[in-house]
Amino acid sequence: MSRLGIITKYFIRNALNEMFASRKMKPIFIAILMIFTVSMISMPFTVIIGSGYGVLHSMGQEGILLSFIISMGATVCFFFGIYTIMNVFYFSDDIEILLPLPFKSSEIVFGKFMAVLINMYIYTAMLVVPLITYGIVSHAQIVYYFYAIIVLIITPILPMIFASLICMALMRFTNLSKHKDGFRMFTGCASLILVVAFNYFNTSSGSKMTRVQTLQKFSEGNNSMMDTMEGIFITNKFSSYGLLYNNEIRGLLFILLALILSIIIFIIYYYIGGKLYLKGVIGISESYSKRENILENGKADKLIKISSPLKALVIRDIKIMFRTPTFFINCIAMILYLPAILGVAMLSNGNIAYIRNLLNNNTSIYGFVIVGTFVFASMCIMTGGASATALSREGRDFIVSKYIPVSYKTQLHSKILSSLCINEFGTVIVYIVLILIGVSPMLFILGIAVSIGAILVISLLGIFIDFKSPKLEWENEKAMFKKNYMPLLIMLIIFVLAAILVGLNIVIKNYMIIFAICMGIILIGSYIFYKLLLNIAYKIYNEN
Amino acid sequence: MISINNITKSYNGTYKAVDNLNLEIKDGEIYGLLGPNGAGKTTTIKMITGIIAPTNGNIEINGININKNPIKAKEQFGYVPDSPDMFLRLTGIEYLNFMADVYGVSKEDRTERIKEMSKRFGMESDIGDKIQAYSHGMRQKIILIGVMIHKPKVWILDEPMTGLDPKSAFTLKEMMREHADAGNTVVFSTHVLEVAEKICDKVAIINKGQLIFNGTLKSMKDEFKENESLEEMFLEMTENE
Repeated sequence: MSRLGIITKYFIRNALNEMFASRKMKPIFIAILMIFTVSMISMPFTVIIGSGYGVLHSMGQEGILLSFIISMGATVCFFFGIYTIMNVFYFSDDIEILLPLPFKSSEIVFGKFMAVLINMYIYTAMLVVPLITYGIVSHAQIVYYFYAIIVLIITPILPMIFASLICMALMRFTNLSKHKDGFRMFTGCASLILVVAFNYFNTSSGSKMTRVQTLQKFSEGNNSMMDTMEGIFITNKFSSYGLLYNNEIRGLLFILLALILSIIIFIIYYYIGGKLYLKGVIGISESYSKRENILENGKADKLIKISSPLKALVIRDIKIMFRTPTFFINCIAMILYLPAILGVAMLSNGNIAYIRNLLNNNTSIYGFVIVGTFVFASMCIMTGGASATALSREGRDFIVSKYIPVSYKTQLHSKILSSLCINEFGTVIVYIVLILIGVSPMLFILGIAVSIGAILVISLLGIFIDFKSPKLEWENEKAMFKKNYMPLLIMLIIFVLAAILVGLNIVIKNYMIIFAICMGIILIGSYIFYKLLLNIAYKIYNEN
Repeated sequence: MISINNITKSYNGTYKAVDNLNLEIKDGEIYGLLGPNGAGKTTTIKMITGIIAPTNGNIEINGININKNPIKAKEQFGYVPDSPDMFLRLTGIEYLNFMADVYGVSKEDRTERIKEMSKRFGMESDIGDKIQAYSHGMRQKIILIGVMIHKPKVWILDEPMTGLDPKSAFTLKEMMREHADAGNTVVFSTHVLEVAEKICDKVAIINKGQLIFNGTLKSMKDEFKENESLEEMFLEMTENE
């Protein structure tokens, strides 16, 4: 087997193992669970396709639904892909093992890219149900489903290439700095910001038309609206056309065009990526030391301070989160990431003015704002924040927790406190959003209370899940963030809760009652999770 | 003082990593735990320190049962684990300050101890840097300083000499002797028989989870031919098992 074959096989097997290997469940069950969760999340889009097809078809604009599904998939891959790319390409310790081996850097890039791509297919699974729905409502032939499989395979490729190029271009400069960890964190955040900005300009280019022009275009029929879908992920457009004209020869041509284009761009990436990547990773694990006698120059006296064991544990945990690039990106920067994406969507197209106007005119939507705050705050820490890895982050350092004379309760409290210190940052974002949309002082207070509570209960849930099956035996920090389907599960729970709350709000129409229900859920949930945590913590810290 | 009474650690109900071990480590003694790889030394040490619980039996440190009164018992000892790769993102001084907080050491005491120990181990210019930037031996030294910061009566050291340069290894041996001579307890595991020969008052040889010898080196020599080296005696005992 060629070296490229060997390394690709290694990465693909590794990625599959990371995704599906579990001591408790068979891989097939994990795969089914993941597909089920992702399908549930795509349910709202499925409903839009199912109910919107008839109307749009009568206007000759049904193709826009396909464009919508595919561009949604590409966007989700782009947003979440950058984070997987950073972890796989730069924060993974296999670099130290691979660099001395006789692999070309482009071969390493190829292998790692395949690993990322396999991860991304979890997100592309979101498109499966909407695409099948489209097939059913449009009475498509078997060839449509065949094309759909090809489309699913190629959709994440282009977004991944762009995301990894952004990452590589920035990481290229990491080696210029002495403080590599700090610089890696900075470039990691810069990559996230760039992706958001990139997407903002990418999508806003499509909305340059005035309302009149849009209406005119719409009335033309013949799927003319699909022409307005612009953007850098050009394969999306060809994929949509291919699926739309699946029963014609041009459909085949469009699919082939999308496929060939993806391959060409990938070949170019293979060469450019290889060159860029090597410069960014060489020396990535070097660390810098000052060799300064701080005992003599008096600096040590400032550093030696007394704290309670609880405070010492909290501070240690927070320091480690801020100083470890992988933890910083996964636990802290990701809290800002989702709000940034939603924020960009909100700030564009004058949505703020619209919401402000709505809020000024009636109090009947206050209940929705409260539920929205609950969902938004939960979503901020959905990817786990600091809580979902509270114990796993310790890795082999956990042994220290077992022999220091600190009670299991104090250790658990330190985990809850350090998680909240980080996660409640989400409340600051809620605070900003509420100010931006100009809510009344009353609604503001209720919103903040719900946000603090929502973050508390989701954090406790995250800690509970982590304590239930901690992952302590990791070789590098990245390995800990392997199984990332937990956020999807949390998201599903949040969505179900939100749907129930929205339903209740429509029936009850009293925001104070909705607030009370939210707080009730928060208090009961927090109490239950805390009690469960006490039991688990006792076992974890005292037994083995 | 450490009392180990009939401790057994079994996994899956069948495999016994430690089998009915009895040891009495008195104050003023340096006690060496010897044995081949996988003999059960680290498992024994982990049970003494409360990291893992024995399947059967009792362990008392200065008369306090580690499983019944873990917090009080853990205050009695300082423990150096077999791998010093921990808290890599903290600086040396932050780690030492953390350990001092956990054990409730006063500001004056910790300052004095940090200064004294850093000097003794030649770490004065390093404690301001992140542990990540340390060599293996330096990491071992910072862990040692951290363990001694609350002046525990009992030292439990798992392979403490690994990675230390000759000077630091000498300093550590010197400190172990001073600590035991002051009426305290030192127990450590090692593979290096010369180290055991030089500083141990008593040794326990463990093989396949069982205690096969316990006593002074002199009594061991009496049991075997007088002119045999420790290495020869060790090999004979562990191979016969």
